[in-house]
Amino acid sequence: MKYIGVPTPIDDALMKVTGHALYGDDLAFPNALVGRILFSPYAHANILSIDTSAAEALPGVHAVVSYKDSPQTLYNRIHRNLHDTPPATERVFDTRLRCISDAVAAVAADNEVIANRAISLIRVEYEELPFVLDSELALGENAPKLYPEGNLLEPLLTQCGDVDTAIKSADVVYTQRMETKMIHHAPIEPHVCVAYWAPDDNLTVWGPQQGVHRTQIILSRIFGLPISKVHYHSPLMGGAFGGKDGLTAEHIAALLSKKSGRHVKIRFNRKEDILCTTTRHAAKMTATIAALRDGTITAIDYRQFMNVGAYCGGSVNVLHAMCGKMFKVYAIPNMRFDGKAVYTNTPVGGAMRGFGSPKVFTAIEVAVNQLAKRLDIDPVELRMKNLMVPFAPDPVNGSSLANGRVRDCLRQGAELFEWDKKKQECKAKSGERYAYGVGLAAAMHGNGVAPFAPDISVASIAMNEDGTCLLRTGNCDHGAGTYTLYKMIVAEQLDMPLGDINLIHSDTDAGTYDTGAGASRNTWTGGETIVLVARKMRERLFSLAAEVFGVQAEEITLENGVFVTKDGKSINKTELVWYAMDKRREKLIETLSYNSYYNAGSYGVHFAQVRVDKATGTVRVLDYVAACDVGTALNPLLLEGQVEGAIAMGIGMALFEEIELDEKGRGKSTSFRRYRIAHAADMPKIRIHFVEAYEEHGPYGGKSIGEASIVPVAPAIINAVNDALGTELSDLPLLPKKILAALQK
Amino acid sequence: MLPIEPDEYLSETLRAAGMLSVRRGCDTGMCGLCTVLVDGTPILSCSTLSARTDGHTVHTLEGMQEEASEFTKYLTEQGAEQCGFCAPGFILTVLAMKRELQTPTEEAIRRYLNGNLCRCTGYMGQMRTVRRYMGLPEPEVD
Repeated sequence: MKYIGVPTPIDDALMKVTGHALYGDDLAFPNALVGRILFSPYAHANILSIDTSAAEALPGVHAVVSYKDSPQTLYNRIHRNLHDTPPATERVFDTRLRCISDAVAAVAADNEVIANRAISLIRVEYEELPFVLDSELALGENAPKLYPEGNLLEPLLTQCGDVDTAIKSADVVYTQRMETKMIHHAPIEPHVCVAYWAPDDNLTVWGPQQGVHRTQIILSRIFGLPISKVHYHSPLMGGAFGGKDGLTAEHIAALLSKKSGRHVKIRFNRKEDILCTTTRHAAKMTATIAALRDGTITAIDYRQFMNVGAYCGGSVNVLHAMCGKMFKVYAIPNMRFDGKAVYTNTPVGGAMRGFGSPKVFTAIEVAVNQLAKRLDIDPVELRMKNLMVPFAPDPVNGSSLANGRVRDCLRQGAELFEWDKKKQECKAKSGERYAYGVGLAAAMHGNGVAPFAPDISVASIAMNEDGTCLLRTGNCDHGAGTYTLYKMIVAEQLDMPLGDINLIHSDTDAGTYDTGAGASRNTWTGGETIVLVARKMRERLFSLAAEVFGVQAEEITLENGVFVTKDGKSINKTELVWYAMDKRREKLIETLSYNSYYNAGSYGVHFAQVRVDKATGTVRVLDYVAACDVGTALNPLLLEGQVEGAIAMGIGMALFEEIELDEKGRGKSTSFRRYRIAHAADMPKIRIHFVEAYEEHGPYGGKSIGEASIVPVAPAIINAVNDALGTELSDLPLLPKKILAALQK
Repeated sequence: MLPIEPDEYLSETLRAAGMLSVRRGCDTGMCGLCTVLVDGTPILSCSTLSARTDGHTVHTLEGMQEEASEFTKYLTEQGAEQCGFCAPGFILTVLAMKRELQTPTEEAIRRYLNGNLCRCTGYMGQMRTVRRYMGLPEPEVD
């Protein structure tokens, strides 16, 4: 193939490296105002009264809004489609505040200085309410209730086989307790949006958004507008990772715009981005693993309390998704997932890269290594004995696990990492001050939302009058290179350079419909859609060329972008476009709607070598191998970029990332000083290996990588630390103080 | 010469003047996105009062296109860009580093770039590009 499989830089790299790429914060509108939000100072409170008169009187202030101006429609910030009915308990402004990210009021002013001053002039009388921050405590009988029906959002019990009997009859049983914390997506571009409520009641929103169509539906619902009167345009996105999925401040900007009659822009500062968007859920987990002496794992019993925060958002979906994935890695007859999603008075949990997988697989994979130690079996060998094989049935629902190549990842990754040699070396090198260790973890993530919901992408290709083309897609590129892949696919099908393909994307008016850029759909569903629509255009061009020359389409070949007959006659795309217009009176355009009914797994096995400083408790990841099951490596360059970025994010999750709240549920992580993400100096040497085994139903046999690649990172590193120190550390993140405390035991 | 308010920060002044490569990522001087060069030295414009740069030369990426072109060409070839939001601040820091450090060690480079955060790439493409630009070998594992 000419384009697919070729390492290809991101298509708009030149705009980015020259500083000319425009993002949400760069969009300018006539007479636009700056919006600022007053967030709740309490984790749980009622607003008794609010006085905004001084703020309104401030010169330069054009609108102040609170519950007094707010529609009282209940909504959920994440919707998949019109008939999706997740628990809807949020209002734009409410008198009841359930966490510190609840908005109390907002202002729109000529500039940020005036807006901030106006915020400080709003007088609010609060009644503080008892609150609960812990998901396990929130289920206690006397726990403060966020909702009359209680704090349990969703219980989920799924199992196969007979877990209790298997545990009773096992030779070795290991139980791993683990805690993971709330994590900030930390896209380097903070959240930003602009809204304009026009006098003709058309509401338009500009801002980075993973799901323009579903957020369009939420806005229409909140404000009682027809869906077609809400317009959403998502510009270039400065990273998202799940954090720009659904409603953040767009509804507040819309309300301010309605009241002021002006464009209103709301840009979060980093404190607000950390505390007032969504987070990766915190969870308390217990994984019990049972095995026979020979290393046959007979049961996995997983229980968890997942901290939803104050509102449901996508939490029910996260709970179900993580449950489904748990059963797809090991071929074990007896498994149980017993999870509870629980409301607390903390910021709202939502979709984040991996969508539940990093929690469940961190707990299980750390437990598997501890089990290996107790069985005195090498952890590579133990996994080899128990991992799934391709096309095995899912033990819960019997559907095929497709061409999941976790065993190949394990074998080939261990070889590249030189597992046996490294393991011995680490033992030999460890001394008084520094301890060395190795760890690994196996995990997976899905591709798309099938079979649970419509998984629809739509695309169109129009041939331009100069023989180039215009591609329309509804999918949104987080910044990972999705659009580059789409252009590569069109280039492959139509034999034209990437530069000849223009793109309109993620826009409810000018683009096409899409379910949303989540659930690893962009390559899997979106990519396949592009293959199909480009193939339609290819066939159309072939049949036109055949018509021109009076031959069968099969007798034509496409060579260097030109259609050629067997006897050497040729016609290029520009000529075909004009032939169609002049002779057939047709504009060449093809549109296609595709729904994915299949959900393959993207597997991965990662290996880490660490050095722990026993004097300071700091961990340095030295060497890292990621073996990834990608189906076909469609664009190796950007695939590597995804995995490298995921490793950085996973290092953060394992070692230092945590949104901290104080004892009253107020945010302590208010900046990048209080919320540390990986820096250049934290990165190890990385080697990435792709296991390529064609995955049917994926574009050219390819499948997702972005989410799948973060899942094994944290457990691989934790296992390496525990290997180095002989510990059972499991309370994330492994901060130096926790490591030092474990060493003192 | 740009008109300023006494309490205005340089990032705001520059963005208002249309220098949109000066990005805002944290507002607290911790992410490196707003890096600009003042008399050739990288500084964080979100934490620098505009008034303090009076009489000095301020360069944003808009005015460094030619100087940056060799490095940015390597960046695009290496696939070191993803979302691209952190690129301008990072590029200016690297240009200053090359002038400042002649033959730096891997450790020295990482220390120099430690204030430029990126959430997409894990810094690996960036580091490969910097080594190529500085003519340095790939590092060994400690």
